[in-house]
Amino acid sequence: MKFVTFAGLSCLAWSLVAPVHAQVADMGKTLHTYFEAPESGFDPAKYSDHYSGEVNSSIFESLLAYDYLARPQTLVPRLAELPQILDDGKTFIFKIKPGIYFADDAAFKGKKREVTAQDVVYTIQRIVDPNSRGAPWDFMFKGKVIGLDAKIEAAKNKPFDFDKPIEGLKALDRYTFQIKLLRPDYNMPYIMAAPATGIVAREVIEAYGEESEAHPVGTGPYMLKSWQRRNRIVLVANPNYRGHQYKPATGNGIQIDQTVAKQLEGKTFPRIGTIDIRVIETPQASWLSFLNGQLDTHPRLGYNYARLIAPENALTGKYLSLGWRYFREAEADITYYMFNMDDKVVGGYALEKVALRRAIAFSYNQAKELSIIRNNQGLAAQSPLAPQINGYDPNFRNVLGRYSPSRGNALLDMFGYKDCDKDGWRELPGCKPLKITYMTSTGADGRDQEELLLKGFNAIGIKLDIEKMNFSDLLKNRQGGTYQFAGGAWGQDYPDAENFMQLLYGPNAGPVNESRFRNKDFDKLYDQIAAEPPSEARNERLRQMSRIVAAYVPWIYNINRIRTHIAHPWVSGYKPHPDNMPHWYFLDIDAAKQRAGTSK
Amino acid sequence: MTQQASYGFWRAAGKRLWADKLARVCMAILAIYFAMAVASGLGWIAADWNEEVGVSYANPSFLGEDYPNPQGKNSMISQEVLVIDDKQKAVDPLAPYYAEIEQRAAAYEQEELKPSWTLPLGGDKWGRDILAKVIQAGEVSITVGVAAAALAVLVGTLLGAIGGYFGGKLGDLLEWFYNIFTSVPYILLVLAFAAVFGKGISTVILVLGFTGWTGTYRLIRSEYIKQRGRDYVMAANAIGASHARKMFVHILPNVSHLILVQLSQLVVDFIKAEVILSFLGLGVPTDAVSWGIMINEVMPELVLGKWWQLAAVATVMSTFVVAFGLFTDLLRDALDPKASRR
Repeated sequence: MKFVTFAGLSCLAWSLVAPVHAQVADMGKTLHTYFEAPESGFDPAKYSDHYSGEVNSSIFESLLAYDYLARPQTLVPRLAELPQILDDGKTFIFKIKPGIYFADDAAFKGKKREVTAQDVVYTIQRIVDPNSRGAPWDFMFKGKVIGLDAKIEAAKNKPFDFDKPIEGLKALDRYTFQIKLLRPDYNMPYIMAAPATGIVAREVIEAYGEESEAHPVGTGPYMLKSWQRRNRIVLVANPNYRGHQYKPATGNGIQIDQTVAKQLEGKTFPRIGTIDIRVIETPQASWLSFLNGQLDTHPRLGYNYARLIAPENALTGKYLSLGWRYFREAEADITYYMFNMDDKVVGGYALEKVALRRAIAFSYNQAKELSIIRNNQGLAAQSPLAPQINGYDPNFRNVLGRYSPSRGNALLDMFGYKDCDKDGWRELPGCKPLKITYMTSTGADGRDQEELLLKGFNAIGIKLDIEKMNFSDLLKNRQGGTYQFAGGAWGQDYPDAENFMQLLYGPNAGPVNESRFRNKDFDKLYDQIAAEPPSEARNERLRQMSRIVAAYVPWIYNINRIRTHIAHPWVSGYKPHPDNMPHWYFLDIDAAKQRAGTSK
Repeated sequence: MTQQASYGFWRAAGKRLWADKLARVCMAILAIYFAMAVASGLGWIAADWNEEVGVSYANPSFLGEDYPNPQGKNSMISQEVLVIDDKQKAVDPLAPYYAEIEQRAAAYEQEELKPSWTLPLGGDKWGRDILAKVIQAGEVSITVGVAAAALAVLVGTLLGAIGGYFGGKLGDLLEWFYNIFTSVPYILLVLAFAAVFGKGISTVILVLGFTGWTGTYRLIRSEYIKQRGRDYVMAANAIGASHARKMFVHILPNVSHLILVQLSQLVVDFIKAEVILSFLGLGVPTDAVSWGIMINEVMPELVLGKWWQLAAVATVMSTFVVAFGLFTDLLRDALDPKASRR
């Protein structure tokens, strides 16, 4: 009943600010979906795991957003209009739309709370505040904003001073926010669209303190209703939400999915009252839940199930007749093996070290990884970049990448890796023992990958030791540089090549550049691409960077994953987005069909 | 009848066992398994199980080549060979060596064997022969299961006999040790042992053996407490038999049926426990295979409709487990003359 009253009030508010045909979500409609791994907490500054981000993206709003249906990914206004860019990409001015209110919360003491430029200043400072659980997202602003690093430095042993004004972050007036950078960064608008930069209210954060992750209060379409940690999350529609109508972005080369656009036409979102999310970690369990209608959408189907329902990239047989909505796209991510370039055995830039890594790269059978382990649900990665992002060239090939143990053996012979003691395994030049340790985590079912690696190493006569540990220890070793050879994966934070190339940038050597690759030419090119907008010249620089990486082999590329997402026919408006966020508020459900479908 | 009375205890038990047809069948089956395990261990059979002799998921011979196998077709696709362009050469420190690499590589080139489309029991995802794989896996699993169970039963029986027979301070000490041992969660205990012993198949045996003795210990201890006051032990005492003789010659045969039941249970338990250890990365190494590993592999295969690995490993493993269980059961009956005969 409460909702009816709220609805009445918010209808009134909407009619004043926006001429949209206001509608409220139908509280009788529930969307059932799942997470394949548990969430951590719903405070965008404190947690960087993907699944917390999915929830945060529905509760909080960033200044900008990606158009839901436009490909390539296109920025559109959300809390603010698209920014004004000054000083060749060093200054950005965002105009916040007036009349946008946070969800009601006790911390606001019964008053409606409007979003202002000061909230943006606060939100960004919180992201770099080390007290935000070590500030996992600080790389988005650290070292970039004028005056911000001095504040971070000062916060090392006392609380962060949010009130001291700095040159880089300013509220010019109630609705105008300005960010000033040390050097041009055309990715700043993308960063202001990341879920991590969802705007929070200072009163709420300060009222709940350590508990902020369980009390998310944002301006977005949904609010947290209940939360059983690592098990079930229930979101309900936010009655204060202004309502959103989808208007496709326009521009050069932008493509819109017309089928879904038709489904969205004329509707005011959100339409679904409740989002019910379960954590289901076993692919088989989530697949069976979807089959019997307990889940309405199933993003990221397991490889085998993806293969089962659509072996030739289209639904077949009985799955076709079920009328499922089906999507298969390359995800903006890459998996790779990395060497620790500081390691005495596999690292270094001497010819014989390059030769060793190249020989190992020759022993890795990328085609088999793709066809056998991944069931062809991927693309053979050719560069450190991923599809769906600026600067990715689908025609670029890693010409040095080739599965050829015989060439690997030849290289090792030439550079003195000989089997001195005739035990069947090669030794280092000078007959010192050679053994390479591959570090991996126990949780992931990586035996297939290990078998493939081992086969390759055996074929070139190098002894490989596999060391298993839990994931957090693995991460610690990788970030701390106490490993030789390990696997890695990266997904986009924002759709630009810079977000991937930073993983190999010399000055980032450490927790970000885990392979600790340092190359003068690469770094010089990186400095250039980080400070310029997309262009063909920049793409060529990116290709050149990929060539350098291919030559020195700090990474052996594996694949860019292709994911399959399905939804039942009663769910409309469903389309996976390359930003990997769920965009639940564009979905709608035909409740009668849903009931019929689940009772079968 | 007088003749039979002159048989020794073990000989009589052996005779009773041999008289049972089911026991003979079980023994024959187990003999085949152990013979296979030994032959595979010596490298006479299944030595090349790790070779990719077929295409991915090669069909079992009885299904024939024409049974659809899209995975097999995929696995035949080889990587395209690209020309190294000038831009790449310019940044490659190894560019001056290209010609030499090609020349030396030629010596390593082997004639590619054409992978087969069918294999006797089909192929796994890499195109390895399931028949060879299941034999090789049997060697590992039987070795692990039997050796670890033997070790656990040995430790459990020894400590249980000492604790039950002597009782008193020594018994209390062993009880105390047992309590501490069982108060540690099983998985933690296993991990602690594994960390000490390192990796490999022998580690799995030691870990399972040294952590799995506690049940046997309790059982044997209580049995010794019961038996030590019996008349026959008193009689042995009266003729001056030593402690060791009373414990192991007089009492042990009377509790041997319990030991054998324990043994058979533990073999099966340990074959299963090995799967968990392998999952945690402490079990059989990547270049070895066991029944547990094979079972682990089949779940995604079934989704693709590839049932032959499951069929092979399930048949082989259940036959072994059932034969082993029946055999120990019959052995128990044979060793206990008072047990009812059917």
